[in-house]
Amino acid sequence: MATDRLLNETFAALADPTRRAILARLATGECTVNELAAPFDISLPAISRHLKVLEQASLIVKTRDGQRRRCRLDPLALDRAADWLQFHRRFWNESLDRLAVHLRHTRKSKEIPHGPYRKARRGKK
Amino acid sequence: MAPTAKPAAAKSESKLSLTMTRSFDAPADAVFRAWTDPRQLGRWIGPRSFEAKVVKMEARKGGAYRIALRGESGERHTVQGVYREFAPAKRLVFTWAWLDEAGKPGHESLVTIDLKPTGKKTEMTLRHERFDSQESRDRHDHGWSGSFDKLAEVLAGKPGRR
Repeated sequence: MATDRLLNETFAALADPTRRAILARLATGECTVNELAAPFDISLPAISRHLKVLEQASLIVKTRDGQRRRCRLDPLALDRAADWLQFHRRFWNESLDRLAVHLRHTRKSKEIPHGPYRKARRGKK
Repeated sequence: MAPTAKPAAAKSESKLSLTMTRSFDAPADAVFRAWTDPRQLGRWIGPRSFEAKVVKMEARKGGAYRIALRGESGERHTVQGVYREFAPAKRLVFTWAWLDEAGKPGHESLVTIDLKPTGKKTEMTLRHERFDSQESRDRHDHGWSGSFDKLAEVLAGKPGRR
């Protein structure tokens, strides 16, 4: 997994409730840093620090429009984080489906747990 | 999505996790063996249409394992790890790391299997946790207390959907 370092940064950035709230706000559309700061009871420099973390994790993109700094969500990093979860969710779900079948099969043929794959059982056991 | 995470709760959860529970029509020791007998594990682990081969398994605490997976179109993936806990018929804990193209293990996550007998059946809970790297844990006080659902909320509203 070549995107590993980036994934770590993404998860670390998502680990903070204020940053998740910022992302949720940005999910409704692009806005300025001041607009972003308004609903939070923290200083503008504090917001800026959070934005920097989000930017480093590639979760947001900052642009400058004259005097105003604007932010928007960059869905790529979030997609990668979701991919990790989706991949493993599918991996385990489908594995466990197969495990259930395997266990049923093993129970039915108690002495032949590896039935079709073990040709030379003569002499063994 | 409101910032609802409590710092106390967040502290123990600086990780992103996936949990699923299944009930199997088999005794707990049989389920445990299905995980720790290399021939059995190779027959079911992996998504549909994948073939797995357990190329290494030291079935004990501290032992290592390695599983090679091959998809329908020939793509190969290898995962490896070490057993951290090995309690037959009860609990199995192991690290989990995919190898990259160069054969180096990537980020290490942790899988915990808990088995609970319920009559003739066994209830199994699988938890797969992905920790932040040590570095990022040092940098951030708050833990990732959310789940896939919270992430999904953000994703559901992402700009692409506007």
